[in-house]
Amino acid sequence: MENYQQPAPTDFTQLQSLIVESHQMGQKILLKENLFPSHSLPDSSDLFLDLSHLNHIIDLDQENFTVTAAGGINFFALQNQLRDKGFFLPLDNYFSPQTSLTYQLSQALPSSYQGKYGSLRQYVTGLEVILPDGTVINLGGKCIKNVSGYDLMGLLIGSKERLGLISKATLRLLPVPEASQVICARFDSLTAAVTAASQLLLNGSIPAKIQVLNASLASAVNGLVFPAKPLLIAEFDGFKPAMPKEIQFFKKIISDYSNDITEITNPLEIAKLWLELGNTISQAAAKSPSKLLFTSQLTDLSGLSTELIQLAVLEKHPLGILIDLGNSSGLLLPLAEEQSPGWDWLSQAENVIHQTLNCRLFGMKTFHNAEINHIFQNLLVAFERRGNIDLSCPPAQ
Amino acid sequence: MSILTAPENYELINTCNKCGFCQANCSVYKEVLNEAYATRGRLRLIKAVADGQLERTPLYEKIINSCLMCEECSKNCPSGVQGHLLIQLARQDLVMKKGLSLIKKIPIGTVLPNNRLRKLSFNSARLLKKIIDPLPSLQSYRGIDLKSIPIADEDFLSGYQPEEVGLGKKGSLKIGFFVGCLMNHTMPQVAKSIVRLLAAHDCEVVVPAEQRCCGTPAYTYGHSAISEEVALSNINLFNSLGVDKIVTGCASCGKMLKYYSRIFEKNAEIEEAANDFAGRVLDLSQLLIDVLKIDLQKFALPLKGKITYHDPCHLVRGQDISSQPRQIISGVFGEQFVEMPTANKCCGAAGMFQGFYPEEATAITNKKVASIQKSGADYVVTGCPACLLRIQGSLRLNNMPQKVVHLAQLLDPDSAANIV
Amino acid sequence: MTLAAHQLSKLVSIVGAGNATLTKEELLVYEYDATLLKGDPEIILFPKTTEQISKIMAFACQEGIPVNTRGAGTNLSGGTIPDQGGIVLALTKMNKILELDLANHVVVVEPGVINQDLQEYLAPLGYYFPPDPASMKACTLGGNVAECSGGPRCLKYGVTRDYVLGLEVVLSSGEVVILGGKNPVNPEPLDLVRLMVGSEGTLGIFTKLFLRIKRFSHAKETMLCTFDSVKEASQAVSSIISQGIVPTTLEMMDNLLINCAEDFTHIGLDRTAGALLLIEVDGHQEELADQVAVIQRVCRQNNSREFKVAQSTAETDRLWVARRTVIGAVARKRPSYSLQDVTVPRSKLPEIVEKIVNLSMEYDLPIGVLAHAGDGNLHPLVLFDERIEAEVEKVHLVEEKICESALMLGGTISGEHGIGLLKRPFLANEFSPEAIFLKKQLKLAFDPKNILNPDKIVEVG
Repeated sequence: MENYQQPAPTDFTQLQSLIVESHQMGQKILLKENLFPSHSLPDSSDLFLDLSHLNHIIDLDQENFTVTAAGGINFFALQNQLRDKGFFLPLDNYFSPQTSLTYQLSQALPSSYQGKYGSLRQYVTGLEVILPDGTVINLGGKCIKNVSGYDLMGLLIGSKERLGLISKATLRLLPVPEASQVICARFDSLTAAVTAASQLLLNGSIPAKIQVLNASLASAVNGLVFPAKPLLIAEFDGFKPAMPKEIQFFKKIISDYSNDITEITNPLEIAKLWLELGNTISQAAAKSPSKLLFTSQLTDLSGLSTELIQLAVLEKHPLGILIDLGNSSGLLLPLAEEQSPGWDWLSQAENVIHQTLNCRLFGMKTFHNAEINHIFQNLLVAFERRGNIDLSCPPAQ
Repeated sequence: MSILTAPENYELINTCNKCGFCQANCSVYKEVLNEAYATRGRLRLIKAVADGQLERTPLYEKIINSCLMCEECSKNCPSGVQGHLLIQLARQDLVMKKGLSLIKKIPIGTVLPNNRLRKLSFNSARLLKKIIDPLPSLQSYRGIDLKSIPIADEDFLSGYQPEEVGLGKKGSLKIGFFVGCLMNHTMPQVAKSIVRLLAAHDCEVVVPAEQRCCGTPAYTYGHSAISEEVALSNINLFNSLGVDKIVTGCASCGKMLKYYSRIFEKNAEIEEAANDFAGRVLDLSQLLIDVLKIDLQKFALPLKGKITYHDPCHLVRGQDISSQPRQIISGVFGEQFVEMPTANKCCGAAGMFQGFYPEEATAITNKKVASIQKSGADYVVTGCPACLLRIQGSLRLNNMPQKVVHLAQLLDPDSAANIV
Repeated sequence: MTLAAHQLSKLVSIVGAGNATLTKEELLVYEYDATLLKGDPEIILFPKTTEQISKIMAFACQEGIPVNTRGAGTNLSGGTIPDQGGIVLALTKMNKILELDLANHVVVVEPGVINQDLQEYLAPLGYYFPPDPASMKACTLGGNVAECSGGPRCLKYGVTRDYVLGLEVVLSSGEVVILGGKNPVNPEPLDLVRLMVGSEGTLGIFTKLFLRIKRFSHAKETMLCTFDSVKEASQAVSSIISQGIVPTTLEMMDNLLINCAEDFTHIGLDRTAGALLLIEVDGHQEELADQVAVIQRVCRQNNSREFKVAQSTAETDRLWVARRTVIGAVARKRPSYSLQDVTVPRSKLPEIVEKIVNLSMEYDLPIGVLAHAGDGNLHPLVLFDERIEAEVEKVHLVEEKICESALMLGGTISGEHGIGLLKRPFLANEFSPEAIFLKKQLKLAFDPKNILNPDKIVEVG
């Protein structure tokens, strides 16, 4: 970590200068958050920006329900500040507490609220981007609907830092739900938990969040005493009159698979639960270079869980499995610092995932198709403004 | 110069805003999926001809003639453009500039308007059928099931004996019965049912034998000289009878007869007579429900099974009549009545369309057949002989058992024998 | 562009003579779309398979022939006008629904499927496809994806972009690729799927659409409310949302349109009302009564005149009649109408409506305002007579001024209808030269020869 340069600009002008300089020196710009251990270590000549000084809310428009914030603001802190004022930004993932808004936008990780509230891109209405050569571009604003030309905002979100650095963002907000409640259930097997959760969704229930943890992960969550059994956590939110109906429906479906159901209604306890879960995962992720983030289809998750559990059994040290049914994604990560020597669980897991229909891994560096990669390269060049893009029309196959 | 460039007509051609919504309802467009066969496209071409940008080419003629005239586009146009009227105008223009092709000219111009020739033609066809009916390869032609088109030995008008069908000569309402060519020659028993029904409800029924073709084929294909001639003839005939109402059991005839007032809109001499005539025209279902307010329980054909209703274009859109027939069916048969999906979409016959555009017509009719199947109905009721024959024929070609019945037959217990 | 005989015959041979046409008559009807613009197509092709489109593109790329893709041609920005000649690629014959996966909320369709047909296919199963533009009974899904069509449900449920999971695309070279897939999340290195949505046929041709569908809500309530002014109606809109309610629909009509609608439907609308709001909320039946009560209270606080809640499906339909028939009603007042499209932040709605009223007086053209009030997207309806050239000129000027006003208020020049040809001149008002440069580079990266709907959105030729 100490080998990497981590400048921390204190204002936007400084940020822009840094970007211009590094561009001239041929250095790549990445965010500091990328220094989480991963199995491909970044090049030490690159620059790792620490945006935490650029962490203010620039404008909170209460009438239009939008917030404009500087990119370095801690994502979790942003959501809390908004909540205090009665606004809800329904986006959340395992890394929220330790990452900035810019990082969230440049990674576009699946949101655990997606099943009910939609994905990250639906909430971004405006961006300020600094291109690699220092040019500042403003896109969008406060309008929810916008089809004026190409969706550059959509392209930039999730582009990691390759097309440019997002310095500011305008997000649209919702009102805080009138009521919210969490309900948990414990199961004898991960498959049973995922099957039960799937059934709930297939029967039309729309929880705000719904996640399943395997036994190892459940028991690893600090601060809360969960028995070492696969755990389903669902959060429902909305208007008070509808809540009993949602909870009742949950119990009706889930009781076919589990007789150990607990409701949590205290808002402080709910906040604590999610915070501890988030911390456990992000800390485990921060310590371990090998983790897998995958995405699938709802109906494939049960079968996938069975396969992954078999894998986890073979690995001697605890392996955490989290399945988020709200966005049909999941996370596989070791909970201890060492893995069993001689046993490459990571590539085994990748095999399992690739074999499952419609299941795909995050972290792709290139596209499968050669021509799209060619276009991809051209887009990188276009944004870097390094020179003319390659306009040759590849011959048809 | 042409009728297309006459100011009032040219103005109408220009009211299309090109929104394209007419594509949604056009049955022909749905089969062909080519803009030229949607109302918006046709209007564009009519304008091009009016502007001298396009010649009246064979392809232009085909495009103009391949419209069903089902009026779906007109009913659904946000700007109120009456597409079917503009296409009829374009057909008039074609007749004026190029004349009708022989294959249309003979039936439309010569045969149908002339009662004797018409009778002769149908009788010849009947004799021809005796030869071709037993031959499997000639039973259907271009998707039209020739075998199932019955041609009566004696047409209704020729064989009409008032004493035979009337249950009392005098009645409180005097009704002139307009039979229509198709009902006259292919289903005289339905005409008899109608007369019996009216006579049983205190009506004095008058059936003038000299009535002529209503003029629908001539009008539809733009032959205004003929349609005006037969119209005038029918107006004078019926006006001289002193009837309270003029009733018909054919949707197309009914629509045309009501349209006589529009045909003579600008002709001061005939306008009054035409309005007088048209004002008294009613479809059978209108007469039964709105005027006579008949007791639906009194006479009923004992049908078992589910019954559905097909809206003829010329009734549902041509005359805005869709609830009266349904009231009759559900009034008589209650729960046996089931609606079929797309009941009011064209059956695909559209007069000569089925002969000239067999592929599209067959595809359209097959959709109707599929709807009938989906409804689970055993019987299909309708108020137009042309629709009836088309649907019955296509059911038979598709080896489907359902029977098609005219609305009048539902209220005539004696018509059981006629449902084959 | 003038195609040579050997080029034409090669193109015809790819799809077969029955699926291609060169006749003058048919070329005439493919010149236009729903705008006042006109193009010069040279050949119309009706491909039926992805393979045929791939071959067409490979040949077109090799020869430098422009290709203009088209669905039903109902777009309102000139996106389907073949103004540089070449090929019109009509996808109407690719109209099959290919796969349905209800459990995973995915449907796979060909681009020529009519939006309404998909809705009718899904409805009996309890599902629908949320983007439902007013032209849904005629427009194709391929067109919806290319234009990123809107509809009245956007505030709560989003736009077309949020419902496209993946696409099979034929690139300008003829190469066929799949972007995204059927998963709810796309792990590819760049979100090219999202980029393709709203690209108006300039980056690739969609041959399969992987769409996300939704289950119908349990219940809904429909309300109609009239106000003294647009300002108060807009304020009511903001307040409703501040109260924690996100309605699915918030349609607003101004006084001119209320009168047009009443002329046509006679359903008893208040002709003196300044604005009308049609509001819908959905969710569990249990929560709706409270929401309706809150909405009624908020409306009253903003000087509402009348407040009606539909008591039956028939009444719901009646309340929607005013909204649905308004374009028809308006169209009968003057021979021609121009339906425009801009978006502003919701709080600026009263201001832009006021500007529009002033423009209407200044240019002496009646202009009514229809708005999706919840998302600040408005459709000014300009009434005129297209045979009077001076009026046509005025319509273009008014459009420019409305776009200017929208931008000054922090809005955008297009909320739903796209840029196409009509709004291309105004793009420079909304974006900096650098942003426009990026857009052009983006276009060239996908289409170096500029043959896919050339020079629509941005001019690169």
